[in-house]
Amino acid sequence: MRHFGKLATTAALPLWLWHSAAIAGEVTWWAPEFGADRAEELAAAFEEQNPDITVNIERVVPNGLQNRLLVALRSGNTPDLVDIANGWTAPFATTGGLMALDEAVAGLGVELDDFLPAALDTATVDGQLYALPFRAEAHAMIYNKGMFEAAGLDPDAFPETWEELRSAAEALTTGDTFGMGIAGGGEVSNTIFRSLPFLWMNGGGVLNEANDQSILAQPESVEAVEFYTGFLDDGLAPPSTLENDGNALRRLFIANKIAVYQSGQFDLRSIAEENPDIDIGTALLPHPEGKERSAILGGWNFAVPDAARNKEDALKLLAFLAEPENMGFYTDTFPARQSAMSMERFQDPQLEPFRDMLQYARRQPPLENWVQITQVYFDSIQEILLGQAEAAEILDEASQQIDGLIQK
Amino acid sequence: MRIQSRFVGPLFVFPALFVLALLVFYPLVYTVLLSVEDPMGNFVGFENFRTVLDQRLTGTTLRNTFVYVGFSIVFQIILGTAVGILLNAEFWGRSALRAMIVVPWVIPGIVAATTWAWMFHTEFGIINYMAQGAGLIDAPVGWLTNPDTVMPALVVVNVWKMFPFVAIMVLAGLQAIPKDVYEAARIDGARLHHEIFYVTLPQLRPVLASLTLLLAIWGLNAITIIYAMTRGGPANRSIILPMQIFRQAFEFFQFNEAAALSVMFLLITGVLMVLYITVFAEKE
Repeated sequence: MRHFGKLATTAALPLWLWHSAAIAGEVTWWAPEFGADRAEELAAAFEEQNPDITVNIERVVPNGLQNRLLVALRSGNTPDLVDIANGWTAPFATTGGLMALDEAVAGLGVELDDFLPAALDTATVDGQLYALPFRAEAHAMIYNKGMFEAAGLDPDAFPETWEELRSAAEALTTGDTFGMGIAGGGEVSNTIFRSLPFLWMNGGGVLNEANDQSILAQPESVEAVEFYTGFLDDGLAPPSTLENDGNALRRLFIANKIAVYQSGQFDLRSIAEENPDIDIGTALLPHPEGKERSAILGGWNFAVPDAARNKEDALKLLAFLAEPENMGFYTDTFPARQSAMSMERFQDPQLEPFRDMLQYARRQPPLENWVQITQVYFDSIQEILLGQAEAAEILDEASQQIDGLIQK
Repeated sequence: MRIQSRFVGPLFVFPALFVLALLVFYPLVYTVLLSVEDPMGNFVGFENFRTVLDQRLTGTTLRNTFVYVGFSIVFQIILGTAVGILLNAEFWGRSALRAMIVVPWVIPGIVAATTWAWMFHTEFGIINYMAQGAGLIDAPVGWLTNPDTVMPALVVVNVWKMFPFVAIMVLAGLQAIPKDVYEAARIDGARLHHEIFYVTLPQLRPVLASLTLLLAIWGLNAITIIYAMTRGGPANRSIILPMQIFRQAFEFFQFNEAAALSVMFLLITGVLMVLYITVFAEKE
């Protein structure tokens, strides 16, 4: 019996150690790899201001993070602070597991008025705030100025409307190079981010305003989808379109295979590094004649799980990270606070269209099964790109499928 | 003391057995439970199964799965057996060739699949580059994006990946065939093709039968190649069951419907296996 007691103590020791690793005074922060170096710097600065708090940064791989966090939230063994993509916020908040931040944020004196409204939208479910946005971005057009000149187009006047974009793409398509690169394969979300704004601009979309019915079969949506997929149909986009996602498009642009495509500002640096000969132009997304532009708001939010062991200090760290200069330092793209936008690093003229697109950007519908709905939408885009049936027919069927998913 | 020692042995084995049972049965039981519950944990009977079966996609998936696994097995066995027989012959450089043939099987699946995806790529792929250079095709072919070529391309990769395993097993089987059987056949005037069809293959039958079973199990469970190369696209032309289960569970987070799919999948494969084993056992 005495032996058993000893054995049990020894066996329980690791458990106890593991548990005690998260006592008061320590905050565990899951920071995605791409920003983890800057997170370390910020944590050091925070620790200096708060000598009694230690920040443990756990570098996490963004690929698969959503799953990992889902498991963590279900099991209750969570970090105290975590970076989440803004599209995951609503589903996580709906299924439970995220702390409502309204009171805490008010108590800490974070000025929500300073945040981009659309970014706050991504973190709000049923009027309650479940995360604090820190990074915001929207796609703009990236184009090859040299090819514009060679095609006899003005490299400083990027097309303003859909029609102008079409005719520019026609002029830019020459045997080996294609006027426009559209996404139609690989990562599903890449195609959503690039095609859905066209539907929105035209007054269409996947779902109506109330998010309770699909409007994919309506003429505005069909017209926009046909505009998007038409680039491939008419030979203005490369034949590899069905396997091209964001990465592939960037590679095609670097290889001088496409003249124009949509992406976020993060592509600019790797293009400049890998093919310095390209004179890169950036511009706003073209819109239908007489209608407004649109874009999907991408970005990341900070969240505190309900099961966090040290919420008090996590919130302190959150308030520190939400300070404009810290947020401006941490973000990969743009900060979610407008006052941080005046920082030096966001003043590059090449970034201007990306910044201007933010005012047209909207969040994705905050539905729990949005990912499944986007899969149906993505499949129908692929089906149309395959060209084996009429777009209207395919979208009508997809629309019915989506209605079925919403009612569940 | 003696009586006690009879129980000591099992006692020592018990923890390991217990853990093993837990590892095998817990997930199985949990999956079955999940398949008849809603996300809140309420019992819903066969509701999840109905939802899954109502999806048009499920039919496509089943068809794709059988096409993919069926064609893969046929070509894996044919190619593997041929190579196994070849490697059993005596010639200069045999050991080197035997070592080289195993390479596809040894390479991690994800690495191989990604490399193949690049080779098949419409724009940058070496296959289109070489075929165009040799004048076989005029315009680049979208191997992985054309509904007519995507399945054959995936089957090619799967066959390439697994035929070395078949070859090695066949080789081992061949070496177990006694020499005198061949000598007897030759005395009776058998030619090479007689030897292969009337001596070698019948002797190899048990090996080939277990190989087919193994390949079927692996093929039905494999997700790596399709996940890395097409993710089931274009427009679900290459989606197979494990891929759909993965999507449902880890992309849509609908664990209950994914569990229902898994249980159905388990039943289908279970029936196949039982059928196969009974048929095979009868012939023995």
